[in-house]
Amino acid sequence: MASSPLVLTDPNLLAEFVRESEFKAFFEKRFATPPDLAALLFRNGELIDTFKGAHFSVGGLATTLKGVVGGSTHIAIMLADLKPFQVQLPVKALSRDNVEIAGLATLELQLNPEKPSNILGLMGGVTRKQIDKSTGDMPVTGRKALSRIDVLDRIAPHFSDRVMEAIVGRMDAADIRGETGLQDKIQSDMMREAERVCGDIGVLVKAVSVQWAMNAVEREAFEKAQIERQQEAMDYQLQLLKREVERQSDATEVKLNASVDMAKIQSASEDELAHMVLQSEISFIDAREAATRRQEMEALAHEIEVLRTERAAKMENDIAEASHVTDLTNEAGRLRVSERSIEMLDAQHVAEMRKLGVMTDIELRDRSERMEMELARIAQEQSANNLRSLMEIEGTAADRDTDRDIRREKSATENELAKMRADMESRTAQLTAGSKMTPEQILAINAGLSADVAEVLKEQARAKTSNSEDSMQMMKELIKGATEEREASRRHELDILKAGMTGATGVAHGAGGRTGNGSAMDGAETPPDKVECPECGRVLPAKAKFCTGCGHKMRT
Amino acid sequence: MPKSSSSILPAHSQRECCYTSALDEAATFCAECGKPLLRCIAAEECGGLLNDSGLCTVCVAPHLEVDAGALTAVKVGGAVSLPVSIANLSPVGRPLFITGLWSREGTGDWREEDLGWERLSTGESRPASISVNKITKPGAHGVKILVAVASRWRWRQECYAFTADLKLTVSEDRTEAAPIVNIGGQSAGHGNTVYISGKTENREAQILTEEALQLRMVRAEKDERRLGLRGMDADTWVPRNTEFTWAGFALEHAPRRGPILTPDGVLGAGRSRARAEDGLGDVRLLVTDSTGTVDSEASRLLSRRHFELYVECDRLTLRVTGQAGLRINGEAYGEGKTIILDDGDIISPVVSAPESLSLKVSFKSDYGRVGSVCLTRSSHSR
Repeated sequence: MASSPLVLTDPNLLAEFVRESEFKAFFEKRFATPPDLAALLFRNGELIDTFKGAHFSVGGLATTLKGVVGGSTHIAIMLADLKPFQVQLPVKALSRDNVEIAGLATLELQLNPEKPSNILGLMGGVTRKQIDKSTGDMPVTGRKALSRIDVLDRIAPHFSDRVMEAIVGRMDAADIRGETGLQDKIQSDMMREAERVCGDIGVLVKAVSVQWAMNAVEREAFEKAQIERQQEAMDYQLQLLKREVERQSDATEVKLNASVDMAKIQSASEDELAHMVLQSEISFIDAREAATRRQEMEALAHEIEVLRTERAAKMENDIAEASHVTDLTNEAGRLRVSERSIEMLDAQHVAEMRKLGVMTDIELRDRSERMEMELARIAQEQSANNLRSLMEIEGTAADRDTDRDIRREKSATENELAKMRADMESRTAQLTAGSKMTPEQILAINAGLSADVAEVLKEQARAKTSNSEDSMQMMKELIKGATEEREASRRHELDILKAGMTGATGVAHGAGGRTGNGSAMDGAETPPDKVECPECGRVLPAKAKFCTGCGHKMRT
Repeated sequence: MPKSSSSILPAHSQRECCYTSALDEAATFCAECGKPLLRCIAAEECGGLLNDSGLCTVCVAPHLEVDAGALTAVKVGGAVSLPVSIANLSPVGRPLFITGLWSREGTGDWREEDLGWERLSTGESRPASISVNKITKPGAHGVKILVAVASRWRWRQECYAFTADLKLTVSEDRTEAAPIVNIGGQSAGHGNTVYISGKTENREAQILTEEALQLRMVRAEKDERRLGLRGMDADTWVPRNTEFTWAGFALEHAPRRGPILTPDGVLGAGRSRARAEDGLGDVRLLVTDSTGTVDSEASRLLSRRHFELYVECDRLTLRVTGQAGLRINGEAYGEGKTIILDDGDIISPVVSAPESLSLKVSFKSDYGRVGSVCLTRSSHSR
């Protein structure tokens, strides 16, 4: 039977009594508490035992329960979370220089896993009373659950004065931020304070850090720095403006048209000059270029553009006509040269125009963009043409390949067909030849005669007999005769050889004065043609080494 | 198809001297080398001698070839169907029967191929196809082909199996990468386009055989036994040259100790006189009493040729020829039945009185080969 886990009903809860309804079903189920939860077993409000990672079932613990449930005793199980948890606490204190320091303290807390029973110290006690239905309030006599906030509420007052005020009061507001030593001191003090306050009620402080809010001194310093930065920026701008004005005054040439004497003007004071201007005695003439000059320059620019377009078009034409890649490269080089010269011309012209102030920067940029776009268009067209010609070359090559493949395939097929035909023919011929072979021929060939001899013998056998059975018999006899004949001729050859050898030895003997053993040979009897097998009595040719009837060895 | 004319002649299964001696129909041993002459079941037609593994090379000459144009290279995951031709190269007009065709890749399972025909006349070549299933790994794969053939003569047949090996190249199935085209930023504007052609990829053509592939066929004895074509079972077989010994017979009533050497390879057993007594039989069966006296009454229940013994497909076989039938291990068999005899079998020729005459079959074997068969006669007429 699987155990259903006993867990806390809310993640913010630290400890909780198991609901009685669930508890009543205890005998029908099995429960298990995970190892990170402590289960505290109470009887009549008295803590009996504490378990970590226990199974509550019919056996074991249930036996204990059975006895106690049997009576009128009250049984309760409280679950306590033993995992570390985090709470945050706003802190406030005055620094040595009387600045209010605020911050957020983060505390890592944990219920003491060694003494989970102390958790009861944080709770008001155990009660049977449920929530008051009319008001919904928890009775003051006890609580059913303990949350993280409860723990924080309990320990927070102890930190504010004893720790924060005491430590921060020794520091200046400007020195607090980034002070690790201070943080460590706060942490150790808080841990000591927590140990003092909560050690008995089962809470451990694992770590504390304080994140400081900006205090008044810091804020002032920050604002000051900001204003300084703004001031600096404004100074810089002023400087820039001054330089601009200077440049303007340096660059501006003023022509005066005066109706009065030059010497008079030169000696006149500013007021007098102003008076003269008002009296139209002198007037300013625009020193910049006249419209005619401007028009000239513009016309020249247009001419350069036309020249560029014309040459580009010509080049494009040349490239279109060029069919080879090398030509293309050469053409591209030439184009580059001409473009460079045009660009040079253009750059010179633009520089001149800029010097004269004929064209504004915007106009110049527009112009160069227009030219670039034109160039890009031409380049694109050229690329497309190149690509097309390359692909055409490739296409032609592919066509040639395909043609060659087709031709090769065709010849291979023809070759193969011819081969197959020849093969078929030779096969047919062989098969025909093979199938025409008669058992007689096979007999003869197997007996070591040549195919030609076999053929002759077969014909002889056929000529001598009328039907096929007789022919077969005759054939056998003929083959036997032929093999015997062959054997005889071999033996004859051997005899001649032997005689030759004997003759030679005879001569040798004669030279030595001794007679050979020719007389012995002369006296030899002619051996019999047939012999009888001593084992089975079969009559056999005399040369037989074994009896063909019983396999008896005839000669040793 | 073999190219040289000599190869169309059957391979010599024995020495020339044996063939010369075999010309004498009555000869049972070679006069030159003394070797027993084991004739083919169809010796009347083919005049052939069996080789040492019981094969008549004149009658049984199958030939296998992969037809021209067959696909011998395949990609991973592909399947191949190989067109093959099976031919009968027997030179003496003996038909050959193809009873089965199997194939397998490497050490895989044998797969039976469908064969819609059976008979192959001399010189005839008929087509079949070998399918090779999905191959999962690249490399050179061996394909084995197994052909079961039978040579038949009257009611008898000899079955054989031959294997041939074929190499199949399996290449990896590579996915083709698309060509990459790079156009350089500097040169793009001046007509120097970089163009990488997709035509550089080479596609592997299918590899077809240009001419018929002659496959060397090798006798497969183990497969013959595994398929039940030959032998008693996978581990035991009675070769044609097994020595027969006869116990409890009068000397003239049984053939000499040794292999069956009658021209047709059959020993006739029955009441008629044995050849040694100028009779027509080979083994004379008579019912005798405990003193050895012939019980003519009881013996008359035996036919003159009661049954025949012969070795067929490496199995000791008994064929009932007597009208009255016989019992083997107590079970009765009628005329015309053929029974394969095993070690320890008891032949009782008289159905009505089995204990009056019985022959016990016992095998002596080495490494599965039955070297000697002993038939022990016992007769106790009432």
